[in-house]
Amino acid sequence: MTAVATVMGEPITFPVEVRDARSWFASFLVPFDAMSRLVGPTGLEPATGLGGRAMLSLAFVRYIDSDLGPYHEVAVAPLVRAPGSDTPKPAGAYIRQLPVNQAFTCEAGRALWGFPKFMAEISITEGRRGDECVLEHEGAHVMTLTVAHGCPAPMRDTALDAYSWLDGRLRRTKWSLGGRWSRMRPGGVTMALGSHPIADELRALELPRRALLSGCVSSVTMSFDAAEDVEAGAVA
Amino acid sequence: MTFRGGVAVVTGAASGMGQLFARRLAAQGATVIAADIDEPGLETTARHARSVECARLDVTDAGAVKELVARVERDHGGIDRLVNAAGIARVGLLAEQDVDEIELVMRVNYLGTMRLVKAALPGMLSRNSGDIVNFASLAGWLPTLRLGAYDASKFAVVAFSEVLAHEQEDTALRICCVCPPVVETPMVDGMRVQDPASLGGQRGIQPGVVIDAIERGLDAGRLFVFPGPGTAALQRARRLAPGPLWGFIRRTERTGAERRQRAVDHTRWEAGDHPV
Repeated sequence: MTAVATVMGEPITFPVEVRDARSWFASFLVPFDAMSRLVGPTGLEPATGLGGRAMLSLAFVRYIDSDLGPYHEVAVAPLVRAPGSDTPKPAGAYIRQLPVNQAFTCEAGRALWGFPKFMAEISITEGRRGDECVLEHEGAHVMTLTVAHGCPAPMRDTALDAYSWLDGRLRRTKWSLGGRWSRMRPGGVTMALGSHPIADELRALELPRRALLSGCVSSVTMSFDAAEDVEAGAVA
Repeated sequence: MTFRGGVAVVTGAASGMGQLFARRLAAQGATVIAADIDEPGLETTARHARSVECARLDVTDAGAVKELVARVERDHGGIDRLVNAAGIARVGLLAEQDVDEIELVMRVNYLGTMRLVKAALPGMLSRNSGDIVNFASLAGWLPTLRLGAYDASKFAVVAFSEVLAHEQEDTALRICCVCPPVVETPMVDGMRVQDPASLGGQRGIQPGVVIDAIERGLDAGRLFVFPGPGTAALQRARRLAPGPLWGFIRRTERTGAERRQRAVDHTRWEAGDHPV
């Protein structure tokens, strides 16, 4: 069944499709306690990976052909376990920050899913050895992430839940993700943080110098269903 | 550096390289004037993209080109980047091709590019800033069989861009002439339909790779950009050893033709046409 919503006078049909995008990502292992403090207010719990540490995923995305238009986006997303679940395995991502550089997708993301989108300047420059991704907000430098070109590695199609927490409301969105032409490697990033609340938030997570994994997926497809509210009772 | 804000005019923006370029510029936050003769295609390019403005344009129409450039300069204050991606290919042997067909390829690929550059150049020079990206092709250095009309038009784009860049050496304009090999776009699909032997069964590179190379070329101040593995080496081979390279092209063409014949035979066989 498809539902229709209206954003800035334009109809949007679910599932919202992304037919072509390119994404640069880095995942980090961070201390569990620091992550719990960040995720805590939503009622979600961090998932744990290697050595009981929590996992943070950072991504810069260039949307080329999508139902929300062409735009750039940055995602700061701790991995979380399913609400109320005992297993520490990641079941989804809590979308903590989601700056974008175009108004239409900003409005759509907030209205349709409660994603914490806001307007920022995001530049992505492909280099010969690595690619440079820069996030700035209201003239302040937030972060620069340089991602090395890794080795070709296949990516499996995945389905996961994206959790959003906006105005005290926790919502879950079914999100499927496919990718081709991906390259990745362990480590491979340098990150410079600026002076901005988001940079401070990342500093508080005590990000290690070395990423667990980083890379670039040249051709990403995504599909987003409508968001559903997560009942307070479901969050233990 | 990423092209931020600013105003870009992209021709051939309804499909292929032009469409991807227009979308990438729009994603970066630029105002994009997407020009093409194919209006439904333009609508696809501009779908949900508020910063993309569609403009129906036939690049062979001198008046329309001038008018569009004048309108963009009036409405948006100037053109910061001009991307000449409009292009067509007609496959066939020169001896068999119609004069009008060969002329049309020249008018779109070369004269269209020339007209847009000539129209946009005064404005760029008066502001002493602007990027010009002309789509030539590896075929603009390395001619191949069955693509004579296309090759000639791309040779013209290469020469025009080279002289233009040297004329403008002392200005702040950035000029890039991109010479990609086979790229997986609708144009190449069309060439395969017209004549499967024309590309010798080659698989193309991804369009995104071409745009990455252009951006790097503009930043590095390189006039000619050869995207994809081995492309620059082929261009050098053409300059240094044109004879052996023609031998190689003929062999590739033959392989392509044989593959096509095998496919035809196989289809016939499957259809029950079994030779005794």
